[in-house]
Amino acid sequence: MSTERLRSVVGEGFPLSRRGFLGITAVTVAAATGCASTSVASRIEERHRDGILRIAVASAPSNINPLDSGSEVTRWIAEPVVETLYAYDDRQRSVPLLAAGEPEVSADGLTWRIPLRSGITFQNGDELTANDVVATLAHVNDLGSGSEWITYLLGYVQSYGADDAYTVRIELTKPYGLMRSHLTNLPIVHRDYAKRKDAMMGTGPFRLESFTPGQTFKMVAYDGYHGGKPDLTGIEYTVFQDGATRLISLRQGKVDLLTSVPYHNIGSVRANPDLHVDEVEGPNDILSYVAVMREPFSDPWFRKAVAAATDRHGVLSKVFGGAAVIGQGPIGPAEMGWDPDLQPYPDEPDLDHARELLDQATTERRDFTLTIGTNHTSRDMAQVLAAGWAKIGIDVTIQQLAGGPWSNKMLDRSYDMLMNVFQSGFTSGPANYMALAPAQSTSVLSCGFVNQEVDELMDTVWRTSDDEVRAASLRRINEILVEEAVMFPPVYPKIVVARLATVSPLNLDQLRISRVAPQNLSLVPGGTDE
Amino acid sequence: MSMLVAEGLEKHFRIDHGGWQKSSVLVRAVSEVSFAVERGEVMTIVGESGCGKSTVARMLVGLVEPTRGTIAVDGVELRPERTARDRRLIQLVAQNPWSAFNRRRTLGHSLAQPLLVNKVETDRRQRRARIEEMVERVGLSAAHLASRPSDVSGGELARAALARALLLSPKVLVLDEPTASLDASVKATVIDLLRELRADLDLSIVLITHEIDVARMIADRAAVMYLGRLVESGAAELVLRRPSHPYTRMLLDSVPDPDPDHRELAAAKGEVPSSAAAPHGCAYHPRCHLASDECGQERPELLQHAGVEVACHRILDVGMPLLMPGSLPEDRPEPAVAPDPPADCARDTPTVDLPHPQADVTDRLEVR
Amino acid sequence: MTTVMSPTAAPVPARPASRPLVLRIVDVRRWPIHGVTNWFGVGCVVAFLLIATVGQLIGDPTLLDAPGAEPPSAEYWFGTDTLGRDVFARTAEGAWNSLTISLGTVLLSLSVAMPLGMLAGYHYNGRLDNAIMRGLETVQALPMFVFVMFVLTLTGTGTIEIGPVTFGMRTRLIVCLALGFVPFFARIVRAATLVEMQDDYVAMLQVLGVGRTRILLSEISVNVLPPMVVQACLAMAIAIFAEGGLSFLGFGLAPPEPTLGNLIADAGSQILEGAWWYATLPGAVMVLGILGFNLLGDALSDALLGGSEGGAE
Repeated sequence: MSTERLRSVVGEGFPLSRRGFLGITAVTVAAATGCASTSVASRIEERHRDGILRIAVASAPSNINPLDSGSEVTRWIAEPVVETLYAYDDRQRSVPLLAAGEPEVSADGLTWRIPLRSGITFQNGDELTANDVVATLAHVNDLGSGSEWITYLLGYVQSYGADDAYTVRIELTKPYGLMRSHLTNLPIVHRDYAKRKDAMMGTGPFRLESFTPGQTFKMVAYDGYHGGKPDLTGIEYTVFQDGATRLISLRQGKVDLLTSVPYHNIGSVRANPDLHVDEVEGPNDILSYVAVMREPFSDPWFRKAVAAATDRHGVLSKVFGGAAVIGQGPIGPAEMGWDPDLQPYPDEPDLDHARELLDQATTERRDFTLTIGTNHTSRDMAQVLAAGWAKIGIDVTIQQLAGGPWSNKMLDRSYDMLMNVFQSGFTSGPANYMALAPAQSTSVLSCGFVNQEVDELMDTVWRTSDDEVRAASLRRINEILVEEAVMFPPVYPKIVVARLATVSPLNLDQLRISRVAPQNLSLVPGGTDE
Repeated sequence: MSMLVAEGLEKHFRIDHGGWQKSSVLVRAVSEVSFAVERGEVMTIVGESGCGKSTVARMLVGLVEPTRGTIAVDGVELRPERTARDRRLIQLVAQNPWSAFNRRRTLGHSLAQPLLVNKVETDRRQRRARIEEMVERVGLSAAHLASRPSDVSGGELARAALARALLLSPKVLVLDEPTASLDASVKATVIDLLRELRADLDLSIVLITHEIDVARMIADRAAVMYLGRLVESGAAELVLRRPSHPYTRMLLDSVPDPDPDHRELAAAKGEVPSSAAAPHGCAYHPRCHLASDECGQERPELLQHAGVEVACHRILDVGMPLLMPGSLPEDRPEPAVAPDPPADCARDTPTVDLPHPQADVTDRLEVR
Repeated sequence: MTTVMSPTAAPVPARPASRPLVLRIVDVRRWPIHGVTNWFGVGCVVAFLLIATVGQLIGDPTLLDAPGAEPPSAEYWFGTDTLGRDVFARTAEGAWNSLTISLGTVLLSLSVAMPLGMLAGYHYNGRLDNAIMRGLETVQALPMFVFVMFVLTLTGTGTIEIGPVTFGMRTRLIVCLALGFVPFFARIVRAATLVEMQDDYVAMLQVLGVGRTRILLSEISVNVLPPMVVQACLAMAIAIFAEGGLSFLGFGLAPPEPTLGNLIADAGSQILEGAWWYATLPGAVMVLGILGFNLLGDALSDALLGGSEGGAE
């Protein structure tokens, strides 16, 4: 009777029997998983005969134009297909790749001439010329294109053109030290593909053969590649949005490599002898800053009390499973300007000190809203932090917002404290300039913090071409922001990639700047000894 | 002046068939019905089900708005939207006592409603006293007021329904088949109660019924309806015992005889036509054994004939009014002294056996 | 005055029948005897309510007590989650949250649906009836889950202040879910009202001068309410389920506030790690609630709508 009632209430279908069906399915899957474990090795061996490396990723963009986004989501898929004028070597120095040599910069620093290598072909056979680079620059400098590179280039790049087939000329409005960084991270695509959002055409060792938007991407080796011939015959990306599903696919040998290992599952990945897990410090940040223009965070004592009561160790061990480094200022250990000696805050919260600081605060408020993204990691982190802050009597409301509403909150500054995981990805190498933007009082993202020294240092960071000066400036900015307790991420998460033992080791120096570089991997039948 | 005057009552319903091209049918449920009831008089309207008599009842109490015609009680013309004063002039007792009350409310609650909403008695205690007085008057006790309809018998419910209508002290009471759903024995006691009340309260009563025997027991005057029109009206003595109209004769002839040897029911020729497609001329002519061509063409007017008003073209050919079976004035039952009928006896029609004068002209049907 | 006492007019009714509805529900003797499943349902609901109320007194749902996920023990009956919180305390709090949200949903939707349905039924086929029914159909045409997710995505999980009124996540969840239930309830109310309208007593009340509002509020409503109580119980089960589903998808209450749904959602990835207790025990409590309210609805329908209360004859 109750079943019937429920049916009539729900209106259609047979909920109970459907639930029953789901239960049976779950049991069956579990049983199958158990039975399958013995044959995993042989299945992998069988699968590897085609020489295709299969990669599981967390998400894929609907727009696959690698010029539009520098995020891993887009670029991890584009990595084997497109190349840059310059590239990072294993010591993170910028060295020529598609460029024939160092750029020729005029004495005033405003005119850059970049020589191109000849004889390099795109995957459709066309030769790379200055026109392709110009088309690429035209796209990323076009306000209407929607490319995120515009935020780096707007106001600096005045014009660009081809001096001849193998020389590109860029005219700047003012000296721009970060230009070299951008040339090292901006991919060059075929002139006919610069504006396409449904295709990729680059000079890399693999070409995009076919794809299902948001699901799978198939690459095959390009025979005319100008560099060394890759070991793999192809690379296949599959999207598994659910972290657990992603992990199961790896364990069952259905995929060879897994980016974005869920932090809360890291323990079981480490414990599995069939898997290798690489955890490296990278330009992975927890974007975390407070609204300085408004109570309660307008009160420096309140800010400092909150910073002192932050449960960094709790976040490190409970949320990140140890795959992170205790956080202090906005600049992490893999980033330019990192200061290992700067440790104003202890791992465990110093509650007595925090209470003392709070007593000096003039604001009456003892509550604020913490606005985070909808991901699991942010949610866990926020809960640990809120529990810590509750210990000094600060009541935190956690507000979870999806991407769009979260960004709106950031732009209209209607937050108290903002937090999200943020990766600079492929835009700035071993640095994360965007994460610092809210500290600059002139930025559209400004959080209300006004400090003349920081503003000047930020200008220097963008302008100077001397990496030493840039690093020193960043170090000082980091120090000020920690002291003022404007940006104090609890931890610096590591980049975590897991792979089967039958895949050759990753280049960890490249992984430090987010590059997985699957094009350089190979399949090792007997497994690797590491 | 008459207590109740109904003048030219008509009610037409439009029935939509819906569909893509909306078609509708006009149903003339009641046409040109006029009658008057004097103070303290019982007027009965009889007819087969579907003849429009219930619609007349509903028009009288304001449940249905007449398409045409007027209703006046005690010289006051009643609008379709009844005021509290109108309601104190005329009240209704509905057909089925089981459904006349809200089944989840106590009788006490239901009986308090008329006094409450019409602001007759606003004081709670006085209201209570008045209700108790009334229920005792109809033969119930105050304890019944705490009961729900499902916990009391049909006869008690019928009494309670009467009590509720009488609480407003109306001058006219409309009874719509008040005994139709009651057992024979209960029926008799309810009729007795009605007689009593009528005498005590000087009530004018309009009794809508298809039970001729009930009508004969209590009515002073009678009207017969067929397909929304009056076909005969006059003193009950005449109409219900010596009918003139062929239809009335057929109707009275069909009153079942309790004598097992005479258990035969006279049936008219054919079906009762739908009032949505009433026959031309005299509505009864397709079923009438006397029908002539004229009957099918022109509608007969109500005309004086032998002391009553009759609408029939062939009235002169009908013959003299005859005494109908079971209709001797002396055989009014006295329930207080009458023996209880057997439990399986469905009706308590008087048991006088008389020859059926029209046996030769009416089709007869064996009832099993 | 003359009083006629007929032999059939019993002086006093045989049964006391006018006790309040609540008492009659509570009266065990009136419950169907064959009700093993009914009693089981009542047991489930009681257990669920106990966990949601008394259970809350045990443990702290937000305290990061243990170093990480631990299996059930004497100290932590349901174990702890990855953040080291007591899963039993969180389940109890979650059950309470699920209960208040589903109860609020059902009450809110009923309080909207009752007047709408009764008005529509009273004016059957009238202009008001048509307007109300078209409105309800419009709401019904929206895919409810998608609609709720859309609204909640736009508004996030924090509080929203519109003028002096603050809409917490709980209120928004209740309003959104209730919106989904309104057409469903209103249709039942309308149908039940229509049935009542056919009954003579409504016409009688009109003749007696009882106005529309009074007829609806004090006469028809008492007849429409009992079937709605049954439906409300069944809807409770669905609401708990729906709230669980929404929380599972991340549209529930803001963390660290637990609900049964977001407990299970959080636990999903931990089953891989062997933390079976984390999902199954809160899941069992949720099943307790869904099953319990479902069976209770059936039990109430037997008690309220069957037997002597079924209507006249």
